[in-house]
Amino acid sequence: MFRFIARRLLLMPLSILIVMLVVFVVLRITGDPVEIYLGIEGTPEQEAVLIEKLHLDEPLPMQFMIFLSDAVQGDFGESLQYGEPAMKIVVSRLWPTIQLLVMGLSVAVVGGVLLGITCAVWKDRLSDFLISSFAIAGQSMPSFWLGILLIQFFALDMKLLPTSGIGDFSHLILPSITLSMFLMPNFIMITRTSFLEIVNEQFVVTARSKGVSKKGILFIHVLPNAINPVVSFLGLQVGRLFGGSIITETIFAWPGVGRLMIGSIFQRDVPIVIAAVFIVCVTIIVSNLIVDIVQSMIDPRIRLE
Amino acid sequence: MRFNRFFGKNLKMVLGGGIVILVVLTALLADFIAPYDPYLQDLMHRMEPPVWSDGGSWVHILGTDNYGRDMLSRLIHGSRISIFVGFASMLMSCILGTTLGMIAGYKGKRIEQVVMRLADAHMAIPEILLAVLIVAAIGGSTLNLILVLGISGWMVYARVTFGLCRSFRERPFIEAAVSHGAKGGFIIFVHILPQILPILTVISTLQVAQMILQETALSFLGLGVPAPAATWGNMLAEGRDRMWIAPWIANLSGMAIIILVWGVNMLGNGLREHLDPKSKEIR
Repeated sequence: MFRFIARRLLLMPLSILIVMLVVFVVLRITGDPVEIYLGIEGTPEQEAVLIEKLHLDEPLPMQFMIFLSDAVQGDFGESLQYGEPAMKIVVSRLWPTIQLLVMGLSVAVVGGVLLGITCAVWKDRLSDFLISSFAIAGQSMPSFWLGILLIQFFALDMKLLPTSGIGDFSHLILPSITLSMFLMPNFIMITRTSFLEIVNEQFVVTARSKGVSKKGILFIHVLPNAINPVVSFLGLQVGRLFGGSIITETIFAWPGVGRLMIGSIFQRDVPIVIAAVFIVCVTIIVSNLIVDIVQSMIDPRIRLE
Repeated sequence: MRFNRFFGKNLKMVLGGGIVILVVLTALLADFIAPYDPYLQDLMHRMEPPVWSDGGSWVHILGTDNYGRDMLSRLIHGSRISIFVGFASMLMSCILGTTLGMIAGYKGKRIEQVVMRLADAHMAIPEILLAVLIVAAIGGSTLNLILVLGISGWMVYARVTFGLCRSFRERPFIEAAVSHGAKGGFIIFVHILPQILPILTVISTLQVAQMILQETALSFLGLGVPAPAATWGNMLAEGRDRMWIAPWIANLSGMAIIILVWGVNMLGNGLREHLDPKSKEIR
């Protein structure tokens, strides 16, 4: 177990390095920073200052090395749009995104597991058919269209909830529902499948023949065993969740990291993009690791290695 | 009432396949079916509602968009790019991922390390983010979109084929082939590939659906096929800005996407049940 965690932690910088290299190269080779930040009005002096500041006179690999050695010390450079340290800006946008991710994920997991169990318990009945159809329809729906429909219905027609922006709890409702729909359909289907598999196991038959009540079987014998695929799926989908939050934040004008990232990509604001990608990457890798450990705790049969 | 029994066993496959065939036929015959030129602007008849709402007429059955272009014709022509982009990018990531995964699984050692570490790194960055990054860099066009989506989806194949390939390597029929002097490439493509084909079919089908959705998401962010092109994603994104005065633009294109993607998903799930009834969910 210790070796497993150590190995994963050792491999983490490698993944992050590859991702940062790709991001850096893509952003640098596709736009001349001098042109982007100074425009046509830049004086030669300003140009020289910028070239000096970003080490643009060095070859690209060298630029990356300089960037990297700064980044290791926590200095991701100054944002060229805002003129402040990039990391500081990204961190300041972190809290709204965390709120959104936590709410969206909770809705997706709770809703998905409950609906999935409903499907499995009443397999092949009307409720199973309806929920399964809902799940497949949800998987087939462009999620931003769902967001638009939600705004149209709840915010403009019913005037119940605000259309966009950040504020009290009511601002969080529509974005979290939209975000949760990126994952909920899959949670439903996975819970359903894994429940149906466990229900046919010997130990469930034994419990039933001993006369354990239906509820007892469901919550004590089946649920703990069936929940594992859901947890492992959760780990794999953190990346997708971040992707979803980029789109959700754009729809609802939510001032989070995702929207910052998209805006900065268009502006070729390399420091911000890399700082944000760094945070996202670390989050995804660490949460994958946590999921693996949690899984081995839930189900001791899974040995890490 | 048992719904599955009521509808027959392969309902999903029949239903999904039917929808997909229908849409593909529409795309192929677009020039003959579409009542108008999808790019013909008619500014006198901007944003006319569809026939069933107030002010609609049979001239434009599904209404017109912001430039007076016929919605029905645009939807019919839009199916072409959606299907083409979805299918081509799936094919690209399938070939890329399967080849790398099989080689890594069969050869092991250093190649395995390189390929799987690359896959790990790729898993740590959200697909859509990478796509946005690349499209913002190289610009949007149908070809670029296919390229980007193709690259962003290879890990699924690589991981699945890697696992399968490694388990096959120990099996007697591979050992027999090796002892007969078969070369690595021959074994991979002649002996191993047919074994994993059923799973690949299922993943690929489901991925076409994902790719179509990704295309619409990129269009929504302003990074799809450039503007005048009639794609469902573009139409949906254009409709968003006029949601309050002309909701049918977004809603009809949304419906078109849902129907096609739902069909593809159904087909994929049906195929999975058909090919391997005991297999788990494919994630």
